[in-house]
Amino acid sequence: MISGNSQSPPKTAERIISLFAQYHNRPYILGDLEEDFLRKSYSKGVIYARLWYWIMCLKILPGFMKINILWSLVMFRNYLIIAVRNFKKNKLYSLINVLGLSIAFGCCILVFSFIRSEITYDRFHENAEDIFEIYARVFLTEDEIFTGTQHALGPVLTEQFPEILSAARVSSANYIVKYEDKIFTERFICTEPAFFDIFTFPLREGDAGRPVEDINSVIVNRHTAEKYFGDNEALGKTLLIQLNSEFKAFTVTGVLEDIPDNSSIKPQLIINLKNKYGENLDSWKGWSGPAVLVRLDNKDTVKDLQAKFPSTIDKHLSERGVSEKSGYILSPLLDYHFDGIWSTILIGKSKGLYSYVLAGIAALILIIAIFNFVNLSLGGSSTRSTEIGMRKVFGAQRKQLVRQFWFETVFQSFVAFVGGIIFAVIILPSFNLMAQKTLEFGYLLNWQYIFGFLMLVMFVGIAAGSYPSLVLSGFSTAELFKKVLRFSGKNSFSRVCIVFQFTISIFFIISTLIIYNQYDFLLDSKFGIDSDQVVILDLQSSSGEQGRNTIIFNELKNGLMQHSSVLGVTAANSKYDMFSGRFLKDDKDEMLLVKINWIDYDYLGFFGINFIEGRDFSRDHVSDVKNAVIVNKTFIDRFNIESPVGTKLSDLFDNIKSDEEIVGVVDDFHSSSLHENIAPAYLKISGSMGIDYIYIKMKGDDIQSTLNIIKSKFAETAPNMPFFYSFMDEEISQNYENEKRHGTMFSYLAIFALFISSSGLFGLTSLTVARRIKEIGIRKVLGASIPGIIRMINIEFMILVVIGSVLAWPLTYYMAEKWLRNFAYKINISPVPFLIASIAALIIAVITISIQSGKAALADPVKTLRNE
Amino acid sequence: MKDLSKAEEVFLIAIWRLKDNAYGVSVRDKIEDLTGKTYTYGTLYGILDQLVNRGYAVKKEGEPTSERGGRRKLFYRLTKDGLAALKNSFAMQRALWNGISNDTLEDGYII
Repeated sequence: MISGNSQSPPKTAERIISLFAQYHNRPYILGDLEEDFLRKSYSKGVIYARLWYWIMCLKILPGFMKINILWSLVMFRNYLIIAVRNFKKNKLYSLINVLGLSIAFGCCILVFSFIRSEITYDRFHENAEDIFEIYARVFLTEDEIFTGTQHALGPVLTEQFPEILSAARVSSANYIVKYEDKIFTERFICTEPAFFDIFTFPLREGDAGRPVEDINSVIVNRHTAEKYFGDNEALGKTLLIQLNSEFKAFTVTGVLEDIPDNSSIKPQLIINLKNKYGENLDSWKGWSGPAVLVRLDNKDTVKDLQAKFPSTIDKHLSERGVSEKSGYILSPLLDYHFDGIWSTILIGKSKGLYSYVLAGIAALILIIAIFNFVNLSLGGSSTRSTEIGMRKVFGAQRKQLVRQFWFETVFQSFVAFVGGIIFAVIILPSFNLMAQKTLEFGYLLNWQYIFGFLMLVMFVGIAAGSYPSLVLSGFSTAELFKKVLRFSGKNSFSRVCIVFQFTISIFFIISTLIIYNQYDFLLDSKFGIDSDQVVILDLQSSSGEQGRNTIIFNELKNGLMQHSSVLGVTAANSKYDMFSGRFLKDDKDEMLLVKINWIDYDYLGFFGINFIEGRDFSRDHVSDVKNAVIVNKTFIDRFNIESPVGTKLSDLFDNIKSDEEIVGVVDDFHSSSLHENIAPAYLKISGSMGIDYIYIKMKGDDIQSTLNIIKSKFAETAPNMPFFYSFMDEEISQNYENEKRHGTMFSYLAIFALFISSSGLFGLTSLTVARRIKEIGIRKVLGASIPGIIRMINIEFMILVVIGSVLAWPLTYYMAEKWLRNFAYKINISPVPFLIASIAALIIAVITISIQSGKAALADPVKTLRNE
Repeated sequence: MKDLSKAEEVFLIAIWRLKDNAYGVSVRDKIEDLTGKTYTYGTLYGILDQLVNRGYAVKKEGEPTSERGGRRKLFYRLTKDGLAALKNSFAMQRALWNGISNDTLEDGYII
């Protein structure tokens, strides 16, 4: 920083002083300093002089800053008054501007909230980085891998490895819970006390001690406590929980603090897992043990720890006779949310892509809003020229004018930000619905975030205000008073931006229409089965209870079939869309996934499924229960079976050793949503596999009373079971929730984009009109008609919208086509939405433009041409 | 007539003493000689401006010199009002200190 020749003071210091010193004294101060500097350098040497100069510089600065601040405060008060006054004067412009910016800020807040939630997923645990899940990656043969755990895997870990501080086995289960007259099925986390050493789930009530150590204790979350106990104290109450067909009493020993939304594990009720597994906990057999979570002393020891496994615990794998390549793997908790390794207990995977896309959209919206702001400011500024002129007369420098406009735009920015907050709060519920999250804004009330937001607001204000302020302050005083405001150039840039905005808007509109079309299509199309007026009873049992369910089913069926309003009753093990799967090995040695369901004798007849060959299951054939198999058309096509009826499965597939034999072939029907192609499937009699779902077909009239009959009959046959029913067609439509959400989201986006584009157009037209007001005046004088002028201006801008439209079509077509590829069954893209969207956009554009063009055409040429 | 504040008094005296040569550097040096106080240039000009505002002094630009990097000096001169204020101040001082010397100060001292 030592610069300049030896006879002149340090330049950097000079510059700093120049920056802060008041305008009118600056040259004198600098002159004095230089004189003094020279004196010192003669008497005490250059180096001393330079040092002295720097010290003087630093001593002077605070004084200057104080003066600057004092004056700034005075000016700001004035600017504020003017800013508010201007706001009121141009209510329309200001409002549109602020509204557009508010929406942009609101979106930013929402997106920020979302991203924050994603980025900090699972990080609220105290030792989040040290938490790992351990599982076995097992190679059955060279290529067949699956992952699993063994029940006994937990305690061994803390015993054998000092690096592992705690280990807990965690599993989930559904059990029926009863308290007084409330009876519901709840989702449980079954785990060990060490769970609370690993995860940070504090209790709001109850002794943190060793939760769930007592087998008969249960921890609940606040929501559950309110559900069962209302406002009463939950601690100490007794809940009856049904395990293995018996209700056992559990005491509530704790209530959990509310769990943040961004957690991969969200316990509602917690009990000790001995309740679920009993003695199985010590077994090394089987692969479907509970998930095992551990906490390491230090995450850096992971690699070394993992290296220890082959020589130690891996023996539990080799004992089972699996390939040596198998081993236990440690996988970090924090990797789960995005990179999604397999887990039986963690839920809710997401993609980093979503965050990027949302951030991109928010940034885009902000940029567009800023751009519109610029246009609108310039467009509305002709009314201010007198004020600016006066300021210049009274000695305002350009710098001060620029600062004033910056102040105004920053002020508007802040007002918009407040609007944005309101907007975000209102939109939050819908946003949560769409993003499938439960975001709250509480997490944003943190100094860093608030500071960051304020900086953003200021930055937006300054960015948006830069161009107008520089332009407006650049006019000469004479020009200002004559109201001759020539805004030079930059026309093409604005037009390009408008085209871009309309392209995006039209894209959103078309997309919305297409999405809704597809959604309607999915709902309407035949599912392949007759699902009208069908009620599904969900028997929701824990394992081992299907046998009991069969008894209930038979009783219920007998009871209900006596009523004329009940047309049919049947049952199945899996739901129509959630079949189990099984791997079958074909002749080319490939393992293929085939879907299986175990059904009642009357199931196929109940749903009206057609047979292509062979026969249905029949009680007359006793062997049907064990050996009869009915397959669907895809099955025989897929496996190239020529004469299916009578073929034994063991002949077709190497890994089947049973006597199962195909007795019939049915038409394809959907076993999952229309998103997927139909998979090969086979059906067997439910027999020992038991059933979980009862289907009841009702007559169309008076559904409510039929439902009541069903309900009371059910209460008779299964007194202790909750009555869970749903309508099949409602359930089916829920499969398409995703599409519905997308549709809603796009429709919102379309509205926003259209609003923003329109306001952009409004600004641009007002700018252009202001610029060409004289030309229009002359035209009028020369005889142009008012409609003629309106038409002239309108056409100029409608072209922009048309171009935007034309650009939007191929873009939307391409994206829509890509999206529809996700569906096995989809609509054809028709030109109708494209046309509707473009016409709608044009209409809105015409209205917007006409406001300005009408005003221009009606202006009195006498006035506009007066100042020539 | 309002009394001069101490700083104002100091500055005006310095300007008076410097006659035609009262500008930034010289005023600063003079004050340091007389009173031992150093003012930074920022504060200096602040007070000088104040004096001008109150009508005790006027400013006038001088010629640019190369010593100052081509910049001008800004000279300050007392006005009639400034002179009158000084005289007032002088009279008051005289009246207050009349007859007191450094030795006599301690004589009259009572705890």
